[in-house]
Amino acid sequence: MKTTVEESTVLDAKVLELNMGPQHPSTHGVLRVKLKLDGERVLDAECIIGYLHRGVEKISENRSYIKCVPYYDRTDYIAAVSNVYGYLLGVEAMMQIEVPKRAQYIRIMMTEFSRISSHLLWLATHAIDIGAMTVFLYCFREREEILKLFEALFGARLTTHAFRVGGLWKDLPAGFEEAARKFIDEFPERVDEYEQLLTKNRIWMARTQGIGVISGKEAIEWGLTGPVLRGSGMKHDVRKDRPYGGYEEFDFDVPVGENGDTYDRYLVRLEEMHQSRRIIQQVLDRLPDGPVRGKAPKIVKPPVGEYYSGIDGPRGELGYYIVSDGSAQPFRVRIRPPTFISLQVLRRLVRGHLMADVIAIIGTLDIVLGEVDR
Amino acid sequence: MSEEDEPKQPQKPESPEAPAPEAEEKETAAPSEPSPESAAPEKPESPEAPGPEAGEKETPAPSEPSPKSAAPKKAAKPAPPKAAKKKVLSYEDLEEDTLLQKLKEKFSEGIVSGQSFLKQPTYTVSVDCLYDVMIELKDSPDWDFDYLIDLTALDYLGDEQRFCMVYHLYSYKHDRLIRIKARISEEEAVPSVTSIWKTANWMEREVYDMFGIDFSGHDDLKRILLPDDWHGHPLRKDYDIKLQDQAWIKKHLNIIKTPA
Repeated sequence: MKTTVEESTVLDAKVLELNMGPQHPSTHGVLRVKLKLDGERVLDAECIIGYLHRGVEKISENRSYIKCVPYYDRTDYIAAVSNVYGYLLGVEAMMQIEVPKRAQYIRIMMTEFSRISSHLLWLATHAIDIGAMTVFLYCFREREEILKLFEALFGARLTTHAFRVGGLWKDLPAGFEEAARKFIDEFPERVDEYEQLLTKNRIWMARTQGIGVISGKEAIEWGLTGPVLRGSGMKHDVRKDRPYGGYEEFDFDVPVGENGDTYDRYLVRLEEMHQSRRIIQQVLDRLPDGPVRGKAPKIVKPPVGEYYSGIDGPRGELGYYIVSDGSAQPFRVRIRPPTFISLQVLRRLVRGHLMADVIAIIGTLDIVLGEVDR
Repeated sequence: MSEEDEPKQPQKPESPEAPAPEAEEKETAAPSEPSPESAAPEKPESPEAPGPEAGEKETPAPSEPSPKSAAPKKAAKPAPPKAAKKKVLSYEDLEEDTLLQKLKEKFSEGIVSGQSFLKQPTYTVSVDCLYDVMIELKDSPDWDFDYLIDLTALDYLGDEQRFCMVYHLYSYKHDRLIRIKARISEEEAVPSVTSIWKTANWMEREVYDMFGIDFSGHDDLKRILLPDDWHGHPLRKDYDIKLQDQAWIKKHLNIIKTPA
């Protein structure tokens, strides 16, 4: 295969090089994919990334531990709540700060809300990429409700700066629980609406079944995590494998797919929304009273040491490796970005597929370029 | 010597005079004191660095009024007054760790040390046998570390062995997370682990991009986040945060000089 690519020229028109992006609506940001095409068929695809690189890790080394937090909102801006959560879990472990139960529960609830909102945005854009316009509108309708909840509690909709060291900024505002309950009561019906539009839709099935297949074993070799790994039938979830922040107290299932194709990943994410809803339901039923912020110092200075804190974000394992030299600024914060790692599998997934499938596969990996590039 | 040992050592001699800054900066929220420190212009470059910083703050007499609030914050400091309410966090040597023993049997001098911090074990190996250790960890059914979580580097500017490679491995089967470290000097190349875990490909490219560390055996080692013709490696400690490649900016963006 490779020799034909090299030998052919533009004139014999056997192999066509095509630039997809960086400004392309279906690349979900600024991703450039250099495609090598034989007619409609993809021979090779090379990702060029870095257009959104802001040097978040470098900035972290020059800020105090607390001042780093807003920057992590802006890595994966679709699920900003989870990002902050993972980092703070690491800092709190190193500082041996205990987070009150109520704060733990609220954090889990908000993180799950953020998972739902992230999956909704994924479904909306994934569907519109493939050509299903209605789902887009439906998903944004529900996402709006979640963003209103975020706004009520955090004061912001997207870059929320959700949590603080030791707990939360403030307690739930009046009327929050009712609004949250109303949302989760209505939510299953709403998901059914998406399913009616897509799950048995012949065009949807034709566009997603058998597209971008990866086996579970290979997925692990590529370091894939989250829904992409689970779509390949591997029942792994950081919330179950290495529970953190109180997740062990909640009941939920880890949905898995069978074939590891785009369709299965779609089903897994839909089911994950139901499971997140279950967790939120349990939080609301069992929410204890008490303070929402533990005893935390004004200046965070962890002892000399290092800690890796990994959580299950909406896109996979989101890790923060924090190295402290005992000063008020981190010696190093390494973000393990789930989508940076899952994007590299694109090349492997698109080979042999049609040009149009590339868009479906980029969609199914659920990348956020802000996080890929950091 | 591995670098796990180093962070500890500065701590020890430091502790006698150290408790003061902790306690006082806490309870008064001293007007002048925290600011020079939180806005510290130059970032300490190596783990030894907290030393001078703590030393200079120690001047305001060691009044010790609120050991209670100080204790949860920084466990390592208040050694002399025995005021620490919580356990002092520090590196502990791994004892009776079968993985460490087995590795030592097999690679003898190649395994430098085994320590743990917050129950996360770290094994420091020499870079010469790094590749073999990784193969052993991945393929041996006893360990079965099939998932390379993360791969990154640290820059200890000023040390003879300047860089430290850090690998986080996880075994789904045994539910076990470990960290492997290997120190290298600036000229040394690290054996690429892309042939062991495919996922290492982009991560190694990122380390190459950000630190300028060379990986031998990587088939596509080029910059990934920064432009191909960029000069410098931003995550090195001697690369100032405001530093930019002016030549590149001039050439591509037609900006003569960016504001410092």
